[in-house]
Amino acid sequence: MAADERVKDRPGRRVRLGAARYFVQRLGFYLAAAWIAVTLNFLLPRLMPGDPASALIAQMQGRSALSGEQIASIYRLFGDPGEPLWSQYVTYLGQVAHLDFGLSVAFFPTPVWEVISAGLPWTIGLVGITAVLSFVIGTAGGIMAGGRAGSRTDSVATPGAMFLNALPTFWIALLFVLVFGFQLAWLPTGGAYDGDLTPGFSAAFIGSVISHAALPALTIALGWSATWFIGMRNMMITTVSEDYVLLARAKGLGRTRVMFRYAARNAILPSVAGFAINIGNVVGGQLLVEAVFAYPGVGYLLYQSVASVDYPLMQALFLMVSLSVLAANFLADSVYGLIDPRAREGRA
Amino acid sequence: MKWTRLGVTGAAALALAVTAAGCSATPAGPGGSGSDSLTVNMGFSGNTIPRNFNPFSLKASQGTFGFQYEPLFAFNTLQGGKFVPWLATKYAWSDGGKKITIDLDKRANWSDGTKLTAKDVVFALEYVTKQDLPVEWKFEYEKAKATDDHTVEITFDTPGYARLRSIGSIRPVPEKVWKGKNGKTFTNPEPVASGPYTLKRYAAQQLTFEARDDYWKQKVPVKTLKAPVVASSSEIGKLLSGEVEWSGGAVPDVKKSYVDKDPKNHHAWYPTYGGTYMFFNHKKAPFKDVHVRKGISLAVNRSELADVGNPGMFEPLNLTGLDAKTQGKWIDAKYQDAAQPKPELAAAGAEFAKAGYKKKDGKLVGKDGKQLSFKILEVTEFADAIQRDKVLAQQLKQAGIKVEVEPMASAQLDTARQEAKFDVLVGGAVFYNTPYNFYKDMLHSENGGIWTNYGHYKSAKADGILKEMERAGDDATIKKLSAKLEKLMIDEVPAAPLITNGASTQYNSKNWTGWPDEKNPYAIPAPWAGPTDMVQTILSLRPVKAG
Repeated sequence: MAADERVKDRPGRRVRLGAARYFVQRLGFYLAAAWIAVTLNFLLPRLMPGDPASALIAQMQGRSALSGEQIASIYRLFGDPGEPLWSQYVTYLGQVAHLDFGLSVAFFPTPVWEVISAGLPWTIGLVGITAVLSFVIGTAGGIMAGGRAGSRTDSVATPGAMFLNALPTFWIALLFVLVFGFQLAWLPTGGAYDGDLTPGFSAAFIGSVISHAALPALTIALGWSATWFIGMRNMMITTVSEDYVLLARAKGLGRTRVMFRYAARNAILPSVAGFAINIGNVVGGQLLVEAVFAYPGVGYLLYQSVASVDYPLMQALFLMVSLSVLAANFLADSVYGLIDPRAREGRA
Repeated sequence: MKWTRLGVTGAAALALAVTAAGCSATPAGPGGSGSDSLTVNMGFSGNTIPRNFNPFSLKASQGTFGFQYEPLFAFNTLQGGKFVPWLATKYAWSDGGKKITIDLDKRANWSDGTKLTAKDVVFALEYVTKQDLPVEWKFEYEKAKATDDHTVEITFDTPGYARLRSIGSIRPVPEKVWKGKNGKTFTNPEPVASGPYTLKRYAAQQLTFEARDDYWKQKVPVKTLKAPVVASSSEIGKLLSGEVEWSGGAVPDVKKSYVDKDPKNHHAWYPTYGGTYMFFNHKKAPFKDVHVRKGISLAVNRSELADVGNPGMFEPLNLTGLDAKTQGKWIDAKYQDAAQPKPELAAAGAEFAKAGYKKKDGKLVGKDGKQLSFKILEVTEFADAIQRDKVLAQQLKQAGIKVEVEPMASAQLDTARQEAKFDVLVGGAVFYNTPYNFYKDMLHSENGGIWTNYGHYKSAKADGILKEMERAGDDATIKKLSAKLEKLMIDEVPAAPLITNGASTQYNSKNWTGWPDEKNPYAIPAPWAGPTDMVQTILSLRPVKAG
């Protein structure tokens, strides 16, 4: 084959071809995983007890009474739970292919896609930015602390990070609501912006968005930075004592260069993988944080969809979580394949 | 060293920047509800408010009813079902209950300025029937017609007295807007309605309502009504700061945490609109045995239960199941005082003995030598209810019964309840204009497992009395028949009444006065209560003069 000849001619291609094969293999694996995720996503909610109609009836309990006839019409409205599973599965696959997730039950009759697209910008804005920032801050901090383990900064920062890491997020959230929201009354405690303002690119509105995001962002950032910090610091300590780092140091290279080009580059690998897995957290939102701050993101939507047995919304959200985790892992795998030849060769 | 310092400084700078931005952008601050606006926590479930103002939708946003769409008439549950005229001024039965004639208030109009007519009423009724919409007020009728602009006639093939509540709840919509719309999926983003408010601004975080200048019934005192999403974690803080002046959330130990902080302005009133009951599974031994049910009921300490969680807000419930204070006019003279606040262990023991149980080493043991034991199922998320059930379990332990509380997911519990796969459940039931609907919910065999006949109770006698009651058009007959059901509740204990159940409401009288209270219970004040209740409350407010 022509490709083989060219490989013979130019040995440099061999590496790239190996990489391509590696990517195709990984892609195949991730596609299979995506199909399993899609199918599980279909099955799991249906294995849960209950159905949307009876969940709704239970919700209305105590507020007003429903007769048998009215209950029957609620069942008619929210679909027949008696429809055979395979035909539901076929319908579902068709919907997934068209990205049409039907009407939400919890927000009936709003289409699922509309519900999600209202929540997604808030979550990506809040949790996404915070996740990236805390990764950068935590990892950078971890490199500093781990690179000079035992220094004064390390001995203060590390126990501090461990303490923060151990605090439950919702507890920090409640503490912030109490202190900054009520006692000091510095920052608003709920919502994404002041309801008296009309959304738009005005200074007042943008300021309001930032002030409303401040407490939830700080809550998330504290916990996550601490986690990244600890992981990175520990990896750094291991890496710094490796022979090649000692050699680099012995060669008299600059400290910064040794720390970043030699030690940190290798130590960061597990963190990259960890960050990829954490992408799921962004889409799922930080549920408790969103609940405490009444933040209108998708994390809380996920909770509501489960509570009201809203299959269409639940599935669309779970699907987004699982597919974005898979996509992020595929990316991380690819990056791995590029940075670390061992990953590629192990497969080839 | 250099890097470390930079990193720390960077993080601190970021935090500062965010905080500073926050400070400068924070609005004027809490507490400052001007003279013409009020902020209410309507208890939107979730963190976003859907833009759905379809009055036929089960998921309509709060404020769709009352503030916007209004019913024909209602009944004040706090006054035993007193008639509350609204869009209709009166009604009259004829033809032995087979026909009802409703007179509309001639002033009623829509927010676009046009008149609300009898045709709109008939249109709404037919719309719901034709489209099979799951509204809670749907009922069967033969024919509905507008005899003139202000008169509606509805006919039935059997006496329709029992449907009065549903008839009153008809919420007319303007025919010109709704004709040809699918009532199941139309979200009605720009509502045209008859209520005192129009939607001024929609945001997923807050609904802002503005009073209509041309509201047909009266002048509207509160010009701007803000209804933001309030997370339960910050509800009490917002109430205390005065940012929220009216709220319907249940605040734990509300007297101590809210009222006592400013007794002059902070008020909490949880008026009784229903009760809490222990439902026994009638399809299962030993609860089939009336003596077991009676014994358990006698062993309960209702005073203690009433004070779990929210001391001073609830009371032991009358054993007929009806609340003596608000439903007293329906309760037979014999049972006016039928309460049993404290446990009567000796009497309980006597009942258990009739069922073959004896007390042995502090345990109540049956003929088979086994201790009487059962499980109470409760919804996992209802932390307060689980707490209450645990207290109940402790109380029954005194009588030698072993009770476990088993929390489970609500969907799972629904299934268990529908399939009668449980021992005991604790749940609420609500009162209506007459005891008929209350007892029908709880005792009619066709409601087994679905509505509040959670225990699948089946009694030909109860069904018979209810059938008679359905055809009763006057209060005297209803009361006489109700007395028979009250006797049945006391003699057979199909479900054990525990404590009153209240419409949790907090309000602040610093800026607005005229709220309903125990002395003047003109409405259930919870902002999630029936449309006439919440609107009557808001229409009755008067500004407190400054100084």
